[in-house]
Amino acid sequence: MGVKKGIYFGTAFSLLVFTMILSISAGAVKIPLQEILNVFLGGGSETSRTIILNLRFPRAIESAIVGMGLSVVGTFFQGLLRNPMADPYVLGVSSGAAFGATIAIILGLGIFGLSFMAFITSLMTVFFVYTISKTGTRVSMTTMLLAGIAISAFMSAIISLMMLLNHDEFSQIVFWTMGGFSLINWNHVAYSTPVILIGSFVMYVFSRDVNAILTGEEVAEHLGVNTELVKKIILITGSLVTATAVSVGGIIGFVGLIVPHISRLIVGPDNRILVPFSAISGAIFLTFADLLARIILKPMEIPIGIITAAFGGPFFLYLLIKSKQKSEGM
Amino acid sequence: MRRFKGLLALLVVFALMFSLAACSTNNATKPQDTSQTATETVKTQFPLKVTDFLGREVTIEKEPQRIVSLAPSTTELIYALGAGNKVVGVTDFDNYPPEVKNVPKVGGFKGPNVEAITAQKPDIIFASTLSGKEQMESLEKMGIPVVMLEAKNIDQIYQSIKIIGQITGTEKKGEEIIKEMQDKIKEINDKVKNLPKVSVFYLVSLDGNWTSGKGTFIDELINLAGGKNVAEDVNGWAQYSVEELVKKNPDVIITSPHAGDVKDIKNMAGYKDTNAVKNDKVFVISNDDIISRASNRIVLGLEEIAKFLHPEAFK
Repeated sequence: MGVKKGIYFGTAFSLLVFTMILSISAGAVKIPLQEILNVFLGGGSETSRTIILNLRFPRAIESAIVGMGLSVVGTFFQGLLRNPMADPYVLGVSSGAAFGATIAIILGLGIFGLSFMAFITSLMTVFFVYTISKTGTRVSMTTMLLAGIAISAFMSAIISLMMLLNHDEFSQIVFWTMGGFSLINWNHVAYSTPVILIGSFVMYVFSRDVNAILTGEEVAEHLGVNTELVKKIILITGSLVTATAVSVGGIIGFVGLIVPHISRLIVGPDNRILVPFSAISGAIFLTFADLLARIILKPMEIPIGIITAAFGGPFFLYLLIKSKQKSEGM
Repeated sequence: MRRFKGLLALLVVFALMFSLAACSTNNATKPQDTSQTATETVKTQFPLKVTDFLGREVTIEKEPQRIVSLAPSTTELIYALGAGNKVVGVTDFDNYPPEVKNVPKVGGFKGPNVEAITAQKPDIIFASTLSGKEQMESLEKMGIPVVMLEAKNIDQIYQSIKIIGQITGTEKKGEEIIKEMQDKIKEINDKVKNLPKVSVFYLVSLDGNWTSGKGTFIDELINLAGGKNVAEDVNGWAQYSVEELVKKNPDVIITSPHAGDVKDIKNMAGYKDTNAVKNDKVFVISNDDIISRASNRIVLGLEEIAKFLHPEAFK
C-alpha cells in the first residue's frame, strides 16, 4: 500500500472514530460532556447512564456495523454482477424481508419474531432467485438480476394486498420498510455483529479472485480462479450479511449503492483496498446518517431511509450525468 | 427493486397524508359561519346553504335521500343521528356501527372511486381532505353537492354534528348528542381536574417509536383526562426519540392495540427505566378508533384514558 493510500485509510479511520464519539455525545437529550465522561467512569445519573450506555452506544455501534456490512456487500455485488446499479438488495433480500416482516406484524409475532421472520424469508427469496438462475453448475448473472427484479415486484404486490386487508397494521409495515435504529439495544448488537463481521471478512478473502473475475470470467479461469465457487460464496455470504442487517435495521436504501461508488472514486477498483475502504466509509456514512435522523427535528426522529436517500438520490443522478458525459466525450 | 421502492414511497406518502390529515391542527379549515345552524330548530328549509370546513358555501336543493360518506368518522355521526338508512356508500375503512358492513364500498386505500360513487346516484357526498380534490371537483361538476368535514378537535366535532344534522333534518337529535357529549366530558373532567397531573406517553407503534403529539385527538383527550402528554413538543404523529422519553420519564404509557406486544415494550431498553414500566402502568386502549376518530364515540375514549390515569377517581 502506498503512502497516499495510507493517508486515505488514516483519515477514514480517524473520521470513523470521530463520528462514533459524536454519535454517542449528541442526541435529542442534551447531556454535558462532563456528565458523559462521568458515565464512562462509572458515575453519572441513572437517566444519563440509560441514555448513553443502553440507547446511544448500541445504536452507534449497530449503525456502523450495518453501514459497513451493506457497503461491503454492495461493493462485491457491483463487481460480480458487473452492474453499477447493483446493491445488496438486488437478489430480492429486501422484498423477502419485507414480506416476512409483514406476515410477522399481521400475526402479531412481536419484535423479535419479526426480525427472525424477516431473516428467514429474505434468505428463502435469495435461494429461490439463485436456483432460477442456475443452469447446471453455472450461475447466470443476467438471469439473476432479472429474477431479482421480478420477484421483488411480485412480493411487493403481495405485501400491498396484505396491507389492504390489514389497515390497522399499515403504518407499522410501512415504517419498518423504511428502516431505522430507534429501538436498537445490546441484544441486536450481540447477534448481528459477529455475522456481519465474519461474513464481510469471508468475502474479503476472495477480493483478489473477484478482481480477476472483473476482467472477464474466462481470463479469471485461465488464472486458476474457480469462478463458479467464488460467485456462489460471495452471493450466499453477501445475502446472509444483508439479511442480518435488514433484520436489525429494516430496509435502509442507498448505502450499499453509493458508498462503493464513492470509495471507488477515491481509492480505485482494486478490491483488496476498495473493500476495507468501503467498509470504513459505510460505517461513517450510516452512523452519521443515523445521528442526523435523531437530531435534525428532535425530539422527533425521521426514518433513516429519508436521510440516506436525500444524500443517495442526488449523488446517483450525478453519477448518471457524469457517465453520460464520459461516453459522449469518447 | 426500484419498482418496489417506488411503491413503498407511494405507500409512505399515503400514510403521511393520513397522519397529517388525521392529526394536524389547521385553523384555516375551521367552519366560518355556523351561527345559523345553532339557532335553527325548525325543520330544515330547502334549498339549503351550508358552509363547510373549507369555508365553502354549498347549496343543497332538496333533502338528501342517498348519502355517500367518505370518512369513517362522518359515517359514525350519520348513523348516530339516525340517518344511517340513507347511507348508500362508505369507504373500506368503515367498521362502525356494525350494520355499515353491508353498505357498498366506494373508496378506501387509493382514495374515492368516482365511478363507484356515481353508480350509487348520491344526492350528497360528505368528504374529507383525504378524499382527493380532483375527484371531488369532478363529482361537483356532475351536480352532486360535496360537503367537506374535517374536525380536528372536540369543538369541531360539534360543528360536524350540526352540519350533518341540518342537512339530514336531524338537528334535534344532533343537539341531544352534543349535550350528551358535553355532559360526559364535564362529568369526567370534574372528577380529575383537581387531581395532580399524570405524565403520559401514547405509543402508536413500537416500530419507529411512533407517538401522537400536539394537535391530535389523543393529546386533547389526555389533557381532558387529567394528564399531560410528554410528546406535546412534537406536532401530529411523529417518531419520538427514545432518549427523550427516558428523560421525560412518563408515569403512564398507553399503547394502541396495534403498537406491538406489551411484553416487548416493557423489556425495551429505555422503556424499562420509565416510572410507567417500573410501576406497572402500561395500558392498552381497547380500540384506537375511539380515540382517533372525529365522532361522538370519542367520549368513550376519554373515559377509558381517564380511568387509566386516575383509577382512584372512578371507584
